[in-house]
Amino acid sequence: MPDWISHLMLGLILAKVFRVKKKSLVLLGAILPDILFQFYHLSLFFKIPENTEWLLVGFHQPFAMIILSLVIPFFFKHGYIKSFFMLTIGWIGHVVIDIINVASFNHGMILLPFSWTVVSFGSFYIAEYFFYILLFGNIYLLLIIIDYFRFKKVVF
Amino acid sequence: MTKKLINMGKKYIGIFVILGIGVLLASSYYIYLEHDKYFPSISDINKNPSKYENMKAEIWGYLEEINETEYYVAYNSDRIKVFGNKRKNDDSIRQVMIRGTVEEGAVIEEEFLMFEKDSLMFGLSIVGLIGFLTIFFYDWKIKFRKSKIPIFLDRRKNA
Repeated sequence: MPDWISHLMLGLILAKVFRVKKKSLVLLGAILPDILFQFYHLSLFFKIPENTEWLLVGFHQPFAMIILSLVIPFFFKHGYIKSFFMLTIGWIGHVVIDIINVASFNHGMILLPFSWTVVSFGSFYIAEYFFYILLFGNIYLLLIIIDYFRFKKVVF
Repeated sequence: MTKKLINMGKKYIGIFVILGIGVLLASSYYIYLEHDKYFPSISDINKNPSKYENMKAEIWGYLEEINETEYYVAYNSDRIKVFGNKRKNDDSIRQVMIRGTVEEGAVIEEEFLMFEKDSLMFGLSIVGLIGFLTIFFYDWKIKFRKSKIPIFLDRRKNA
């Protein structure tokens, strides 16, 4: 999905559900698949050779995410395994949303570079991102309310 | 065992990072080289139409020359004829995506998706990015040091 806000909102929900203190690592995982891939959107402003996109497609897939999740934690002064799992929770959420959508083929090829099979449920169009914003916003609010009744304070 | 592996990784961080990046770049290049066997683009089809005969294709581009039963989709200097329903073209359309089958250098439309210019989506993404950076640097501070890992992110005390 091109909008980052719904991915980040899902990251916040996952961080809350898994009681993660360092939310930023889950959030980093939530946008990790798109960080390099979004460079392709420069094609909206500049002339970029058509097939260049395929050089970036690999960076959006779980295979690349596993490798990045193994490398990135070395740069954080934090428990390696914890950091690895936080990042992994984030990018799995990202991939799940992308699969649910009517994605472009290159978003649905989650088994690349081993298989070119497209996995997509095709439930929502990219332009229907407001559905996710509303849904995730409400879920997050509900989780904050639940936490308020449990701990008697507002925890974001 | 896991701790041993992590310590080994920290000891040989340079090799580990180079290896990881190398695998990523190699897999990306492989995908780039092989993509036309599975999902040919407009330029691929134009270069050798017979090679992609009856293959499924997903093409992206801008609408041009719209007629009753056909239209063209252009990307940079390449364009391809698409057989399908009459489409409306106006300034609100950013790009279109057509899925279909390649036949004699043209595409028979099976699915048509239109992406409108949506500045709000990009605006919201930028808001999201700013929010993310705020949370990130609330949790972490960048430290530079002379070691195998020159930059690393340290936890903030208040976070």
